[in-house]
Amino acid sequence: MPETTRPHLALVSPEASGPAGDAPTDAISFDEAYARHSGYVAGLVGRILGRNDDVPDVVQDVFLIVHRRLQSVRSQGALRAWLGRIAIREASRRLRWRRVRLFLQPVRTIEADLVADDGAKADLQPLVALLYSTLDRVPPRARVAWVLRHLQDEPLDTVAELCGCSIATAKRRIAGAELLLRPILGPAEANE
Amino acid sequence: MTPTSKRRRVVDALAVRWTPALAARVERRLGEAIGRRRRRRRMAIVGLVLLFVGGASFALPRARELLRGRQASVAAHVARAPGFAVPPPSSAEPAAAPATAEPATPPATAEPATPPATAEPATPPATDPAATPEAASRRAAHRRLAAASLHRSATPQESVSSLFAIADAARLAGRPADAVAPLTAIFTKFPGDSRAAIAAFQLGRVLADELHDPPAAARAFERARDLAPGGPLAKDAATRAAEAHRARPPAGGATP
Repeated sequence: MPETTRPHLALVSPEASGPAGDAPTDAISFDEAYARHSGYVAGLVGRILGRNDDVPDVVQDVFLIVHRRLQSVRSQGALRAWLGRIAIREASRRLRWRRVRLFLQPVRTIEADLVADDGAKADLQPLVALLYSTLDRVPPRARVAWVLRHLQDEPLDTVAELCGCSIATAKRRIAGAELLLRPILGPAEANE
Repeated sequence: MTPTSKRRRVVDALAVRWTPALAARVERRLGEAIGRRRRRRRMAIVGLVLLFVGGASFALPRARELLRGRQASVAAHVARAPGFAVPPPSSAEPAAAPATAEPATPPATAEPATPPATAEPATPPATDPAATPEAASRRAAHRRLAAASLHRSATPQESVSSLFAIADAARLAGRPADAVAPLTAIFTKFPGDSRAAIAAFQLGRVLADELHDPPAAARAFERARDLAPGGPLAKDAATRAAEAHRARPPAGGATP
């Protein structure tokens, strides 16, 4: 993204205000972080939430937090995991609100806009819709862990790190979600 | 479709819509939100600064006023203290002038120059030091001084305490006559104060024991009894009032 179109986003880089002794060698600007990682954040949030409509709002919330706390990030390598944690936290918060709304208004339409209407994959729309409507009944923590493991193909240690828990806890959460998802995806699939 | 391929197909089919146009729109909204947040922060800082400045502009004059009042109170103490330690009649220079803010002090220091003018005409030329024209003049000056200082805006606590201090200082300095005015002022100006009865009782003792004025002492003791009828001094005050009445000389007789 060209810098001239976004003068208001030209922000202070970490080395400008960080400690003098341990200034990071690979400083990150907010624009750079947004340009590099907004797609990753959007994909993560979209897979967790299961809807395209909520993605822009959550990405905006995530990068607002990033803008406020970017100076605390020391290196590019840590940025991605940090962004992932923020995105998961924001998505989980939205999931909790969604569960409250689901409790107050149980009847609703099932959306599966993560799968394109046209093309060869359109026949998977009912399965994806069923998958996410079932995930709506799964507690947010277990849902996030399961999505990260099975839809985002993250290894268990990454799942645990992103969820902010131990590997054992991550496994337990994934297993808890699989109990509900096994009738849809089959036992062999759930045990994968 | 095998289960594995089914899962893989689901994973492959999922595609979150995140186009460059959408990214640019979110970025624009982000810029607006960041700008709003900066404006809010700036407003909060300005508000805090205004609050601080407003508070300081209110508090500083108030503090200065309080400080000035306290300084005036201290100055009054200082001014009164030399009044008790009035220079001997031989010294005619106005020694207390720099420290005094009281208008009544100069007459006290200038009294040796004009003894006949300030002397009370009814005072006989007796040998009693309390009855000399100088003493009477000094007493009158200190009464004026005490009265003038009582009109100052001071809290009752400060005034009663300071008046007690003045009276004690006068008595310790061997000038019991000078203690009359502050003690009288305590129970006349602050009759509701819990120490008013003590002041009246103390005045009665001064008048009876040191100034040998039984009628005035009797009045003071009666006042002490009336101010605190149920107080610890009431019984003593009544007894001392009766004694003072008994010691009162017959009508037309000379004061002992």
